[in-house]
Amino acid sequence: MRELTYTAATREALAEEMARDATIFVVGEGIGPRGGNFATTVGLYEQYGPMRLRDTPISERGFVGLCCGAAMTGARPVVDFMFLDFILDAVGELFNQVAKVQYMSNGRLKMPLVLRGCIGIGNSAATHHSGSYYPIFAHIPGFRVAVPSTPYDAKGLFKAAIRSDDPVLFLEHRSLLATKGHVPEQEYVLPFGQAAVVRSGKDLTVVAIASMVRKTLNAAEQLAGDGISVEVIDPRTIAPLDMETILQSLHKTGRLLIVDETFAPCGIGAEIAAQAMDRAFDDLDAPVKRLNGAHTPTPYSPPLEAAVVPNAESIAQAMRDLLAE
Amino acid sequence: MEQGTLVEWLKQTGDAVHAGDLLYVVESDKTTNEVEAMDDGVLYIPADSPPPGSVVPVGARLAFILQGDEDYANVIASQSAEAPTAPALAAPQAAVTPHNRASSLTASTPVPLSVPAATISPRARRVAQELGVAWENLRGSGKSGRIVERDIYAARSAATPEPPHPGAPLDVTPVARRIAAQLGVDLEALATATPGKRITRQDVEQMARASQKPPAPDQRNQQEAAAAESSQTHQAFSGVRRTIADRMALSARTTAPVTLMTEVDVTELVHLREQLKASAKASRSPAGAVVPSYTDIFVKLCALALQEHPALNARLEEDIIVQEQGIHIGIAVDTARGLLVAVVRDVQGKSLRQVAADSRQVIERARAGKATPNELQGSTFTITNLGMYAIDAFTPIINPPECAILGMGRIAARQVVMEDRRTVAIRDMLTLSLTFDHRIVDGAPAARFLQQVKQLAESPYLWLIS
Repeated sequence: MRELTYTAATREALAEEMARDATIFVVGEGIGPRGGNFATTVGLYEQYGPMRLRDTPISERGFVGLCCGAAMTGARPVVDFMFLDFILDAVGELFNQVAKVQYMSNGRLKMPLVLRGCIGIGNSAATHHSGSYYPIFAHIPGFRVAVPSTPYDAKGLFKAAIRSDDPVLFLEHRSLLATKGHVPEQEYVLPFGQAAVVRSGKDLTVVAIASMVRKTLNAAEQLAGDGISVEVIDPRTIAPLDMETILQSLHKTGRLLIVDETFAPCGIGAEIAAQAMDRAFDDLDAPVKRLNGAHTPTPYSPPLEAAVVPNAESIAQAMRDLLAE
Repeated sequence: MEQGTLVEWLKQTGDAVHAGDLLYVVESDKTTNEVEAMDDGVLYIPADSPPPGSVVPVGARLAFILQGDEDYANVIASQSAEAPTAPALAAPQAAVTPHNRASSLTASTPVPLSVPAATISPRARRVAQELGVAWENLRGSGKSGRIVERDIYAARSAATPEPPHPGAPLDVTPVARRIAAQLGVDLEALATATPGKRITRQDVEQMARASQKPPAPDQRNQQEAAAAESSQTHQAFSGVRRTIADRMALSARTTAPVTLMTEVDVTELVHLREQLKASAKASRSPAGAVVPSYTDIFVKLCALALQEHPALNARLEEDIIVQEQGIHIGIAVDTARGLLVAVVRDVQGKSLRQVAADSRQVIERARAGKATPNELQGSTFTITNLGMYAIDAFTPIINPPECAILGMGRIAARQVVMEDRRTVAIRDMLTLSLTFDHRIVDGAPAARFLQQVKQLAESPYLWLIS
């Protein structure tokens, strides 16, 4: 079985897709000869040159607008934001044009645009390089949002993102980039809106997102030692969100916890909790609980930074608290 | 839970108490609980309160927590004015909180007692409705007393069959009615013991035989009785003892028990356990250091056999035989407070090591009186081991509502004639006693189950690699 890192898996997906479809090109800061700040495009510049790997100045709104126009005319651009935080400089273009063009043109125009970036807290990257922001994009009609947690899922979902005619945010958590996992050599594409049950159990359901999946699995292993059986679900994409899998699990366990590094208010956990209450009220044996990162700008100090993110211990505690409800 | 024993007071009249302070100890069916105050105030235990040691129904009033300048006479006056037949309160801790506020309380403006409504999770409410369990008077095990799903299941398995409606016509054959009159058999009592079943002549005759009464006390010499009295000690028949009595009587009254016994050559099993012991000694991980007991081995092995003979992993519920998917094996545990059944859940999916770790934990908790109700109920099959007391074989009594129970005797070296019928060897032998409920399963299938347990025990290496 072949093992690849998360970054190598998405790079392979990009390379394979670029070889298959000449309308694909990448724009971003340092994605040319440098190969990308997170090594997302290493080796591709040598192969495809500056026409398809276009380095840009720091001008997010400009190059996103440019890619929006290119996508409208039939190209399949990939915008590499490096840190996703910088997407905020292009939000006007994204929310007002990219997300709405298909609707406003009655489907005559497509918007096959991939917006990729590194998300998440870690390495003392401080408050301008630690954002995740995905609930904001899941809130807006028109976007698809992928948050894969394994190399296998990352490659399969990246291919789906490239081939989608809708704009896709493809978000890669910093703590996952160097993780390794099985990635088959043969071609595969993973569908959006299909959650993975990454551990099955019967006492409670935990929905974990991005880097929280691994931490939750560690916590679930701790609880297994006490005879507590935890089901862990990785939604893999939060727009579309596979509520069916979550509700099936809830029907079995009666208890639901959502573990998410992003802020709690108006977040994806709030959305899942609201849908669970609405659609599965009679399955709930306890209140739905959320465990989120602290609602604060991200500190630079390593101990403070560690304190604002859920870890295996706090997740295990949240699971025990939910079982005691 | 319908009643409990008030064991002792942890606070006395006049003590200031705060919400969360421990007030008194109550012994319920299987566990002992310390009950907390839910309000601040001053404790007042009236003179007519049940003394420690008495059995009290759930909802009985034990004491009052008086607020501020509230005084006891006013509380009593307001209650008798407002509610001469005050409704029973829902739970013992509620019983000590009359929820009367001093400021608004006078004899002329009485404040009615408020009965806190039970809260229940949506899921528990749905499950209760599906199973037909009345939850309004249950005590929840969730946070702040919320009734959750497990409480509904516990209530269902604790519910004894409902006695027929008083005054409802009894379902009795005419012959049975005539014979009952002749033999002086109480048909009401018989109907209660066998709910939902038409009483036949056989039932009546059986009851008559069973109730060959000992001579009545009034026939005894008065002096003799007095002498006997003084040499006796008396112990409250309550708590765990009473639960055991109720359940054993239920089992004896309702099951049709048959006990099968077979001798098993466990020489190989003894070797296997010696090796496990040696490997545990060498192990550096705490999990590896647990040596499975013979009981643990039989827990695992019965689960394997039950997977192939699910008829014995069943219970009778009124007119339906319910076969359980999960195999939850109860282990009879002798504790200071009496017999408890510690449950290892979902044995079919667990390794022997996991079974050993789980059983050790739950048995320790049962012995320490710390087991949760959930750890002491819900088994689908029970094992009882008296081997350590040099018992060879016995007739265990079924743990209702289960179908069967396996008794393990001692392992002893014996002379055995081997299969070739020429050689005599010294082998380690164990007698297994399987009691099953003939209402649920017949003799032959039960015998096949026991035979499979025997085969698995005689060739342990086969099931270890399976």
